[in-house]
Amino acid sequence: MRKKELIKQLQNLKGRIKPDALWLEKNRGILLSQLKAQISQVGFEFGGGNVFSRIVKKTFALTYKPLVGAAIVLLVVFGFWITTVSATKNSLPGDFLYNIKLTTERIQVNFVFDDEEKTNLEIKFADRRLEEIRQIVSQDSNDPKNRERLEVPLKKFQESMANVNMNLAKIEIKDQQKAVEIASILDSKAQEYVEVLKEQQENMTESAVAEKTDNAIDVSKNTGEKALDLMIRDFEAGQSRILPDEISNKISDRIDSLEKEIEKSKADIKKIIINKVVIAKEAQEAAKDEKEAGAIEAESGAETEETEETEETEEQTEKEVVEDLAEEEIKEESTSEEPKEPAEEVAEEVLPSIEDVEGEPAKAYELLQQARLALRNMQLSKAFELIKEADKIIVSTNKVISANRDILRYFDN
Amino acid sequence: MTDYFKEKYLLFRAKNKDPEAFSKVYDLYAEKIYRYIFFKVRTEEDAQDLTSEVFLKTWQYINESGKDVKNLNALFYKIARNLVVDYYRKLSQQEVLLEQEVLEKQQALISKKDLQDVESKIQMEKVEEKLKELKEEYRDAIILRYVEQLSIKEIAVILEKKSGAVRVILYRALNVLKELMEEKEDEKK
Repeated sequence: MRKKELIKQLQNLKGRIKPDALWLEKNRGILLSQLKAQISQVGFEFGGGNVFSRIVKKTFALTYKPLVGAAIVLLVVFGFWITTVSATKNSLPGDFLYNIKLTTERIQVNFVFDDEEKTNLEIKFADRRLEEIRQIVSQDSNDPKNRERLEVPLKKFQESMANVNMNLAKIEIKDQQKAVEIASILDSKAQEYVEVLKEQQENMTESAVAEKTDNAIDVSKNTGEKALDLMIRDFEAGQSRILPDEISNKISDRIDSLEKEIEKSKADIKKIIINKVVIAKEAQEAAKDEKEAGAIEAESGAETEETEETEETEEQTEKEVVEDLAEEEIKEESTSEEPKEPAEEVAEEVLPSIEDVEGEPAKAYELLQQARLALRNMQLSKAFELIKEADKIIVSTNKVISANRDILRYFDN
Repeated sequence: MTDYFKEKYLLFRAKNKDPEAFSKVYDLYAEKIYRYIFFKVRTEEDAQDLTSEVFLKTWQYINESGKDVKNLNALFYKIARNLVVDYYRKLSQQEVLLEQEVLEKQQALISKKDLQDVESKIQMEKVEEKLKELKEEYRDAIILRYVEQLSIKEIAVILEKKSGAVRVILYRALNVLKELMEEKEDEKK
C-alpha cells in the first residue's frame, strides 16, 4: 500500500464519521439554554441592596425572560429530551457547571406535564443531591468550605422532596390507583433517604450542618409517612389492589428499623452517661493533683505569689468542672449561638439533660410492641399511629443525644 | 478568508456573552470536534457527552479566562484533547473495561453506516481500527492532519510542539500506520 492511498483513505474517514444529526441539533438547543441560564445566574449574583445592583438585576431579569421563551421553543421543537446533559452530571456544588446542572434539571421538570413523570424526575434529582452530599462529606467533612458546599444540595434535596409530596397529592386526586403505586415506591425511597442521610450525618462534625441534615431527614420521613398513610387509607377503603402482605411488610419494616434506632439511642445514652462520669472523675483528679502540687509548693517555698496563682487556676478548673457537668446545655447554647436566634430556641428545647431521656427508648419500644400487636390484627392505621408516636419520642430523644454529641465524641478523641 | 472573519466576529460576540453567537460557533465546530473525540473514546455516547462538554468549557474559557483567543480552532481541539485525557483518567479510576461496549459500538457502526462500496467500507474500517492502535501522539497528529486537514502550524499549537517536531511525528506516524495496515494484509495472504 502506498502512502498516498493511505492518506486518501484517511481523508475519506471524514465523511464517514459523523455525529447523529438529531443529537447534534438537540445538543445545540441544550447548550444554548445552558449558556443563557448561566448568564442569567451571573446576573442575579449582583445581589445586594443598592439601587444600582437592583437595576442591573432587573435588566437581566427582563432580558432573560424572552430568552427562556426562545429556549423553550427550541427544546420543544427538538423533542422530548428527558436525557440529562451528562457533561454537567458529575459536577459538584462549588463547581462551575453545578449551577447549570441545577438549572437544566429545573428546565427538565418544567417540560414534563405529567405529574407521575415529574415525580420520577424529582426522585432522580433527590438521588443526585444525596450522592453529592455523600461525595462532599467523604472528601473532608471538617473543611469549612465543605460546610458551605453542603448547604445547596441539602436545600435542593428538601425542595425536591416537597415537590414530590405536592405531586403525590395531585396524583391522588386524579388517579387513586396510580397514586398508590407511586406511594409504594416513595415509601421505600424515603426510608432509603433517611438511612443515607443519617449515615452521612454520623461523619459530620459541624453541628450547624448536622442540624440542616436533620431537617432533610425530617422531610424524607414526612414524605415516607405521607406515602404510607396514603397506602393505608387506600387499603382500608377496601378496593385496593395492594396485597395485605405487601402493606403489612412495609409497616413491619418500619417497626424493625425503629427498633434498631432505639437500640442505637440506648447505647448512645449509656455512652454519654459513662463518659460524663469519666470526665467528671478526670477533672476531679486533675483538680486534686493541682491542689497537691500547690500544697507541696506552698510547703516547700515562700513563693507565695506562685501559690496564689496555682490556687486560682485550681479554683477555676473546679468551677469549670461544675459548669461542664451541670450546664452542658449552656455550653451548647454558646457554641451554637452563631447561626442566629432559631438556634437558641433549639438549645432551649434541648435543655433536658441526658438523664431525663434515659427512660424514653423503653417507652418507644413499648409503643412499637403495641404496634406489632395491632399489625397482627390488621389494624393498620392504629399500628401506624403507634409507630408515629414512637418515632416522635425517638426523634426528641435523639435531639437530646445530639446536643450532647461533644460528650459522645469524648472517647473518640 | 471570509470564514476567518466570520469566526473572529462570532468570537467577539461570544466574548460579550452572546449565546446565540456561540451557538453559531457550535454549528461550525460540533461535527469536527465530535469526530476528533470519536476516534479516541469507546462509545458514541461518550463522544457526544464529551463534545457537549467541550463547548461548555470553551465558552467558560472565552468568557472567564480573560485571555485573548487567537485561534479558536486550536483552542477547541486543545480543550477536547484535555477532556479526553480526563475521561481516560476517570475511566481508569472506575476500572470499567467493557470490551463488550467496544464491540457493540463497532456493530452499531456497521449497521448504521450504509456504504455502497463494501470493499472500501471494509478497508476504511480497518484504517479506523488501526488508528486506534497508534499511540496517542501519532493518532492525534494523523487525525488532525489528514482527516481534519489542519495546517501543520495549527497542529503545532494544539499539540504544544514546534512545527518541525510535528512534521517528524507525522512522518513517523504515517509509516507506523502503513506498517500496521500491511501487517494485516500479510495475515490474510
